[in-house]
Amino acid sequence: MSLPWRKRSSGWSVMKVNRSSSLDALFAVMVNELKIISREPGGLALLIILPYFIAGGMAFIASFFVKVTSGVFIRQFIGFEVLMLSMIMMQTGARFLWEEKRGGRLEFLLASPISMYVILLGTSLVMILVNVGAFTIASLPLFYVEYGLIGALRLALALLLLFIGLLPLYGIGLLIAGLVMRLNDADSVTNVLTPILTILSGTTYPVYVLPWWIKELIYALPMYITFYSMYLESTGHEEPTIIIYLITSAVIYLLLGMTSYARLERGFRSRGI
Amino acid sequence: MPGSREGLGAEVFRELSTEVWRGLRVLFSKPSAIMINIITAPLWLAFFILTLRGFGVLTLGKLILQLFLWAAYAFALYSSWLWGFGGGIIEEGYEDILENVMSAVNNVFIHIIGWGIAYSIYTLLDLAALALSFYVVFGITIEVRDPLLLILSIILASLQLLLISTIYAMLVIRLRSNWVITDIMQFLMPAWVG
Repeated sequence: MSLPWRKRSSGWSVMKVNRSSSLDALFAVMVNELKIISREPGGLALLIILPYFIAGGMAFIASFFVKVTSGVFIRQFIGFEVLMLSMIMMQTGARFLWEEKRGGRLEFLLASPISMYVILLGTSLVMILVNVGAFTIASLPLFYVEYGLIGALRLALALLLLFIGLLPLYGIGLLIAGLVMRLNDADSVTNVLTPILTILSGTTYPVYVLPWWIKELIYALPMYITFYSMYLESTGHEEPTIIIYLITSAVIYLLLGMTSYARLERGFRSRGI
Repeated sequence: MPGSREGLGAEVFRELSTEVWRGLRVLFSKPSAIMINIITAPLWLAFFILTLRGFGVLTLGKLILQLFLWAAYAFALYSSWLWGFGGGIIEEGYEDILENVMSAVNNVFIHIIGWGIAYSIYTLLDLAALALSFYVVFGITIEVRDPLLLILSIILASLQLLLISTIYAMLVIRLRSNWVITDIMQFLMPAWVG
């Protein structure tokens, strides 16, 4: 915590104190968010087993028509994981702001000395860490069985790509937050956007079968690139160009999300919540 | 006494009708949500078929698509009844509505049956949404050889799901994260019953 005597000293110390207090605040937000999430351990368990149900169920149906190899199953499994975590990540920012607004806490958060950017960063980082953790636990056995020890190492790199890939999705979530707040209905917006973005994810099917304009939309969104880079990494065919594309997309979508949120917050402060 | 028995029957029917009407009003109170479900159903179907393609399934015959339609309806029924009907009873339990029903003159059994009948009517929308989706995506129309048998099947399936969902809701109502079990059960049950 910052001490008063340090605040009265040189400008450098003030800057250091501010940075330290922001980090303290970020840590406090993250701990609080983690406590909220851990209240429902069943939800965390579901994050791990649900991809097996969905990918397994689809593989079961497909097995009536074709032979589903382990390689195909792992590719589809990664696809479903990326899709599921993307949907969660995109809803995180919008849901957080909506719940806080509905619970009457958003006004207090805006009035608090902690910047809303620190709060949003803290909540999103926790969600990203939880998602990456769930992916690790769910995928490790599959990777190990299919690729051996080298597979577990590749998984570590794939996790890093997942971490990067979830960042732009949070940015998109902040864009969606603007829509949710304007329409004043989180459920309807989510129910409309989820199937559209699921189709546009391109993570569980060959995108070349789609019309060119849908393909362009899929390439412009970060889900497919995240999935594809992770899949290439897991098979040992990493492609630096795709990773650079992913990082660029993270920067662009985060900037877009932050800009959109800044406008939203300006609106809150001038017109009220 | 026949007179009093008739009076009791009329009273039960009146209470049941009230419960059905109440259930329908609750279920149809958000037309925008119903419209969204109907509009987005073809997108979910397209995603399902595209994902099968991801597994290597390149062609699907008309008969297979008809089977998929009914399989999708069976899955939708399980999912709807567990989430909507079972979840509805759990919500009523949390909001003390069930306690009020029990303490008032109303019968909980009639309350649940009435809500179930209303829900059965509501689930017909799932069938409509699926039929529309298959028509939009594949140009397939529902082929029914014996409409009477279909109606009877839907009634029997609804009755079975009403009882399963009620038992399920009673079993999980005290659990903290019962939605997790609902999420798993909606996949397990259709697979379990073939």
